[in-house]
Amino acid sequence: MASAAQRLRGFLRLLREHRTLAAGLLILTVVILAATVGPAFVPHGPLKVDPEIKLQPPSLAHPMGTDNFGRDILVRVLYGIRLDLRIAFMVAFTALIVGTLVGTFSGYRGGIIDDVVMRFTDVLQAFPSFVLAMAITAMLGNTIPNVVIAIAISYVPFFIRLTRGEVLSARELGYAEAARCVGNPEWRIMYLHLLPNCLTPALVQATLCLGWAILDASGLAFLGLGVRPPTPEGGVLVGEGALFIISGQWWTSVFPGAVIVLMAFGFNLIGDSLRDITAQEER
Amino acid sequence: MTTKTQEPLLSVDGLVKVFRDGAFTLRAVNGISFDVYPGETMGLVGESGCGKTTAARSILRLTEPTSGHVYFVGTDLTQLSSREMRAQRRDLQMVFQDPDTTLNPRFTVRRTLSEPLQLHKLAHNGSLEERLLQTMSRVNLGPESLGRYPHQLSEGQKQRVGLARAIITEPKFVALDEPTSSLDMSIRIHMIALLQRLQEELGMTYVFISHDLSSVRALCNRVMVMYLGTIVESGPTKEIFDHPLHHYTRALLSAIPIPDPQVRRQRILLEGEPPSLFDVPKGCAFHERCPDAQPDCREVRPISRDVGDGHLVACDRF
Amino acid sequence: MILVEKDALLRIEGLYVSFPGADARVTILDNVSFEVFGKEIVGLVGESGSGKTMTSLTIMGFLPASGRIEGGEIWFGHDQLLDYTEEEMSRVRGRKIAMIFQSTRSALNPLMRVGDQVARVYRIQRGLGAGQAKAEAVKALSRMGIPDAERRAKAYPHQLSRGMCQRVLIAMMVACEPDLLIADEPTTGLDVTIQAQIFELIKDLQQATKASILLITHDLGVVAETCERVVVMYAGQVMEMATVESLFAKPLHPYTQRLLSSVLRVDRTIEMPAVDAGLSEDVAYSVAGCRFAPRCPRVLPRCWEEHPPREQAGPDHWVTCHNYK
Repeated sequence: MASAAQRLRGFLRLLREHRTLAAGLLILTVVILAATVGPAFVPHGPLKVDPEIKLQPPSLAHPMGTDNFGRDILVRVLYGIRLDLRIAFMVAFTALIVGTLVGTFSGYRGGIIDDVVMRFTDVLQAFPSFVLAMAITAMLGNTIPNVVIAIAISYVPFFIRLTRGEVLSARELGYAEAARCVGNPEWRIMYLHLLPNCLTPALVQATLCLGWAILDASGLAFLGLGVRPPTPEGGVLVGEGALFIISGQWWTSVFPGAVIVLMAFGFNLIGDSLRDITAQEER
Repeated sequence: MTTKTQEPLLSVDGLVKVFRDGAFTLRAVNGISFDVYPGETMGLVGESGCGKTTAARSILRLTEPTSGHVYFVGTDLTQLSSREMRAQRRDLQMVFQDPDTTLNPRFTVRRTLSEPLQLHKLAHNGSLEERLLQTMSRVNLGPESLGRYPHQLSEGQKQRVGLARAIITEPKFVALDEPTSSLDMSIRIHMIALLQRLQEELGMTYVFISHDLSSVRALCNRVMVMYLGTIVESGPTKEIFDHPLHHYTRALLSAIPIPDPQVRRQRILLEGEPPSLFDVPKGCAFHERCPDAQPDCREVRPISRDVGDGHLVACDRF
Repeated sequence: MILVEKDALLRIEGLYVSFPGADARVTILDNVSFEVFGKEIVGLVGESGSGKTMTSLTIMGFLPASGRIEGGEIWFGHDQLLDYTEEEMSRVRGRKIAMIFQSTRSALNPLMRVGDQVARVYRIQRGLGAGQAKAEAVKALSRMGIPDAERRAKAYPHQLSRGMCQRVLIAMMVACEPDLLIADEPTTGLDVTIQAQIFELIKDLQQATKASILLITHDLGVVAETCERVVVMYAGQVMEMATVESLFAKPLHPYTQRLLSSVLRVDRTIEMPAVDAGLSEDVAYSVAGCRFAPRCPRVLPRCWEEHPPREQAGPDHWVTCHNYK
């Protein structure tokens, strides 16, 4: 077994060879660090209203300025990152679990079950995923858990298809057959033998989904279908600030918007380079 | 030596396996019947695509047979529920062909070998480790390999782990699918010797599937020759190898090069290649390539008949 | 008959090739020397990892990038191939030396009809016109024993069986009219009845074209039935070289003796040895002298340190062993 030092060396070499991975990790480390320890250094609460200082441009006291209620935008952005990340991780986790479980079952069983599952994903994928998420939140009501469920449902088909494809080729391999031969029941063959060997593409997909989920969650909130104001969330902040762009108070929505983009960009960089790395290993 | 007065351990009766996919029908196993007696090694030989692996998989119900029966110590395996069948698997094992894919890449050797024992509740606390070490030494693997993953093992080691997994529950019957084909010539003989030793130690009965006829000659006491899903000839090994009757068996045997320049034989070169299983010819499956085919062979499928000493041949012309 | 008096078609002398290993570079070919003369079939036998495929890749100039030639010479007629530039090598390949690889289907272009692939060889190597090349290609395919060649020429590789694909490949190589054909395990993955057909074909072609063939195989049966001379390799070293009759009748090197005694035969039942791991080569590469020393029943102290010289032990029988007598 490799020692900790060896693993660290291997990891550093990986980062040197894949600059995009390093860049993505750097961006997200900075963003997450800021969101976790940042609020402690800012002497304002995210909901503290102060009409005296409304719509102030960026200054030393308020590096991102203030909004129309005099709330500090920096601290609201930091809290917004926390919420967006939480939503993103819950979405990716839910979609990953549901998608891989269903995908493994569908691919392993084949036949009519597989046909039904595939047609179901076809139906889901016929809608643009954002429109689907809009419809679901509109139906369920816009609370945070409902936003997570809505976005996760729109991503599940990707995970089903990816896992199913892997399982289809893996179930023909000797070890799946051997697992049955030594007396494994079907569920063990599917979830103990096949699934762990078919997980890699889904994990890469989950990383990419983290970025998309941030964009979708913000988008829903911006349209008023997701997280509701005054909760600090990326899309809420951009939406609130958008009213003041015409009157020249650009900082109200540009800073929150830039942070959303930065997070999504970071996750996409990581996801893309992970895809490259795993594709190389397959060869 | 086995005698016919014994009860067969495994008895296959009219086994058929047909794969259907849309408009295509593939007759992989086209009605085969045979008995295997306790302690013997039955060879099942033929070229790729003749259905020998599918036959073994159908017998063990790794794929569901289309029709026919398989009796194992009196129990008809084809009638068992999947739970009952799982319980039987302790005694019916298989060693799979490709050593590179036969082991779960995410399982250590220890986990691969412990699994059958745990599934059949054969290991109690202390005895698991003992059983693992005993089985490892039986297949000539050191205990240090237990902690390794398949990618850390050589081809030959993977093969022997696959063998260890099959014998760890001390089964009565093992189907061996091409266990020597991926090995170098000088190592094959050692694999055969190992299989023989294990058979003596554990009293197992083998069905040995191979296209490598020299390994078959060394290990088996009886042989069946398969062509396009049917058994064309079967009998005691020496009889089949020294006095083959079916034209296909003759051609197959004469095609194997002999490592001795002093031996010069008349080679029977077959015309063309085996027809596809999608389109098995009417009559005798072999008539298109047979040097001695008669009009009758195109129409009537020959029936297997005994020509003495348990030597059966499905051909009306020899 | 003494070797040096004849002019060899291919002469490999003291070839050393190394590859990066876990710690240091590993010498994969260690002082490899042998000859192929005109109009003969030579078998290069050894087990997997013995260096036989690496030898053929080095001859063709296809050594993988991580490999390094540390020394030695490869003479093809009067040309030293190791001095050739890549451009000069590409003129030798195909026209003078052709190679048939192990994996059959992947050696053909999956998007091109097989007839066109053979015809292209006639156009490029022989400068024939399109129509003439096509006609020649069909003729060549039918000479390879492909029935209904006209129709098969229009097929794509995936529509043909592996045996057919190998025939197409052989047709392409023969179209080049090479002086030397290297066939690396040309029947791997083919059924024995098809294997027999392919080797009959190769023998007939050799008779008809007078080319020499270097046949790389691990199957001693194939060697005995197809070749005139044999080169035996183990762990990157040449152990013995002789005519087929002489080698099988009187193997001199302890490795060859062990190899021949452990081969299973279809025509008789042989005695089983005690169970052991076989002749695995994992420890061999670290030995400075003869690499069979760790497993040799007749090992001498100096075998570990000194590489034995190549000694002539009979007419056309050479052995590399300190203790063969």
